[in-house]
Amino acid sequence: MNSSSGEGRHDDDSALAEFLASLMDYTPTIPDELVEHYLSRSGFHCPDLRLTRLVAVAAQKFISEVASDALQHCKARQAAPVKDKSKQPKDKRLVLTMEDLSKALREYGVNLKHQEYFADSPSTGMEPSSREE
Amino acid sequence: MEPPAKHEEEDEENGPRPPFAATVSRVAVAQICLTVGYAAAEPAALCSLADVAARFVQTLARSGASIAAAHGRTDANLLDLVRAMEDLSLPRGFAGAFNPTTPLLRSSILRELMAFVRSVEEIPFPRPIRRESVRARVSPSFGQMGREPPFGHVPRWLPCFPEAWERSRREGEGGGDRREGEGKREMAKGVRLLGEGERVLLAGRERVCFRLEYCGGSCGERKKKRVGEEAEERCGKRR
Repeated sequence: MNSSSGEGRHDDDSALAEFLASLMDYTPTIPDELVEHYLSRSGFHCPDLRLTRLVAVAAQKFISEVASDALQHCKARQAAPVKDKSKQPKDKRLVLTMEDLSKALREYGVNLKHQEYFADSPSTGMEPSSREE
Repeated sequence: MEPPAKHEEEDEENGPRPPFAATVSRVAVAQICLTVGYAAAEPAALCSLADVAARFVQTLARSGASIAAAHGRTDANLLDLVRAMEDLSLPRGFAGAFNPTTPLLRSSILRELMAFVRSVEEIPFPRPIRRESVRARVSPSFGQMGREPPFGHVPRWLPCFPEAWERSRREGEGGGDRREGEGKREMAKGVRLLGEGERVLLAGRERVCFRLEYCGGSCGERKKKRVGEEAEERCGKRR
């Protein structure tokens, strides 16, 4: 039993070493220069480029997960039966909206709030009779 | 990362431009959204997601750096990074989170990253980004230049003193510590060749004369004359 667990450990370690070596050939979407800029700004000092690529891959994975969750929300909203047929969107293009993004990010602990519109003053849009001047 | 013109230019239509890093992260996040399946994105949503991506990287980096510092190291390594990633993923949860004694190199987060790299196509950034060389600005130290500091209390790892200051000090001492044997500098008709590591200092400028004036009131006029006279006297003395 000990030998099998030892072999398993060896396989895991070799797989990790191969993965780190393969990171040098893999180019993440988030460029190395950008990641290095943020790493140096935050005090993370490591001369190894593989760790920079690992951070880039982790960030790419995180954003992909958030974007795919938002996509699911978008598709669910489009698939829902539309009450008013005139409001049905003619194009089935998938557009990333703040609504879907805030729903997706809420699961990751990020509270994203977006103003629907901005007004000049609290009484903008109210009837003149109800305004107090 | 920042381009040479770091000042944000005021555009009449759009306002000040965003920082370079924010723009690059926006492009990268847009590429990721395209691969996920989106055809377009609202500008506010794209900016927010790019900001979240930048904050994710910074949080990971800060966490990793503090874990390394807690172990008495200035350089972070893979173990620090894996621990930082686990800390960041704790609210959402990951396989094996219940067991804090799981070896870090066998963490499920690393396995998920490996699976992600295998499954996703490689999409590099469309354009190469110019890397700003910060090293060029750092002045070499006494040790790097192979020189001894002029004073005993100055350590060798500090940057060299400006050459003009050293020259004036030597002239003041009457040639106490001449280093012209180095053969790196010539003084001919006011032309000086810069030695290695020497910085250009501004040459002697023309004398500047100011006139300070107050406006308003008889008292102000008196003050005006007094201040103006004082300024002229000072200029006169210097001349």
